[in-house]
Order: sequence, then C-alpha cells, then structure tokens
Amino acid sequence: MKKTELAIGDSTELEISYTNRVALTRETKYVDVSSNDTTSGYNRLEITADVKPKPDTLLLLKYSPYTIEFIEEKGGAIKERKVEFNNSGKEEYKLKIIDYPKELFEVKLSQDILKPGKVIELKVKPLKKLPPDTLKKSVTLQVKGKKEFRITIPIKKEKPPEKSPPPIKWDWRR
Amino acid sequence: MKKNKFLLTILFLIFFLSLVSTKIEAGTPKLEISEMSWDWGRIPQNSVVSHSFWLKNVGTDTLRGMNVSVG
Repeated sequence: MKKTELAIGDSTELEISYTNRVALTRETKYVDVSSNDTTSGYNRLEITADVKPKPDTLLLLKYSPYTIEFIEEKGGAIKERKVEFNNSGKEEYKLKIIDYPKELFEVKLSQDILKPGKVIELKVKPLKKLPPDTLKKSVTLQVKGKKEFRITIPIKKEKPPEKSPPPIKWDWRR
Repeated sequence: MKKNKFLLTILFLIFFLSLVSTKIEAGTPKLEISEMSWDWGRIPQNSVVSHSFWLKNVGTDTLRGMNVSVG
C-alpha cells in the first residue's frame, strides 16, 4: 500500500502478491484492511488461486511459457514477449484479458477465439523502460469453453546482477 | 440563587450541544474498496502473481491509520 492516510476523495493502490510452492486444488486467503472508518465496519478481502503443477496436464488448453520473463537488454532495449496458446482439445475456447498492469505493459491477444487444433498468441509489450528493480506482476485471462475458468501467467523481471568492482592492483615495487 | 443555578444549567447545555454539533460537522471518513474479492484461477506452482485493489476515501473526513494484515 502506497499511502496510509487518504484525504477526502483521494485514492491509493493496494497490491497483493500471492505465491505457493506446493500444487493444491484451490486455496483462499484473506487480507484485512483496517482504518479509522467506523461506518463500514470490517473490510476483509478474499483472494483465491488454483495452484497447478508445471505442466498442467489436466488442461487441454496448453500454453507456453508458464512465466513471461523480461531480461534487461543491452542499451535498455525493450522486446515484447509472447505466450502461445494451443488448443489440444475438441471444444472451442473464447479468451479475454481481464487483468494486467496497465501502467507498465500493453497486452494483446492475436485472436480471442481458439478453435480445436489451432494456436493463438498473447503479446506482452512494455510501454516504457521497466523499473531497475525486481518486478513481479501477472496477466489474468478469462477462458470460456464448456466450463468457464481463469488462467494467470506471472510476469517476472529479475534485478540484474551488480557489477563486481575491478580487482585492486597492487604494485609490489613501491 | 435558584435563578443562577438554572442559568448555569442552560449555559452548560448550550456548551454541550455546540460540542456535539462541531463533532457532526467534522464528518466521518469512509473507505470504499474497488472489489472485495479476486480469483486468479489456475496459476503455475512456484510463481508469484499479483492483483491491485483500489482504496478510496468517499467520506467527509481524512481516512487515517490504514493498515493491512493477512487474516
């Protein structure tokens, strides 16, 4: 949370990150937001995720890579990344992008209908030079087939390793 | 003597009511949250995903002491 105090009409962003090393069926966590607001009482946010193993063998909608990774290029060049969705099932899927960090990326689908046996691409393009620190964001898609479900793909950028200082030269002749 | 006591009571009442009305005029903070839940759906294990909620003060006084804890 960027602010702990809000003037009348002011707003702030509360970013919630989630991780789990173990594949589960479904996990729900709660986040409580407290303040001096006594009118609305308890503010409890509910976050849910289906942690799946890699590869997600039960899903007929295959996608690769599982994580969108940005690596700092020489001279600060920004390259877009692609995720390929492959329909290995017999039903048609309709895909829709529902959440991504709009201030950092442009995210587009090459098509929104994915027919059986076909492939479509999700393109993620940075809008500006990415912050120098580690970045952990994600893009969420709503998928409509016979059943409706969501897929979230992490977006990652690691902090580049710090350059080690040049070795100290010692002149023994002194 | 009785008259003085009555006047004092009236003055005290006026003072008390003015205090109460000042408190009402000062307003109350009110927190509004963009949504109360979020579902990421299927996520790959060993990865980090994120989502942003937006918090807004729609009240009539400053919202203070905002704090977040995992329940």
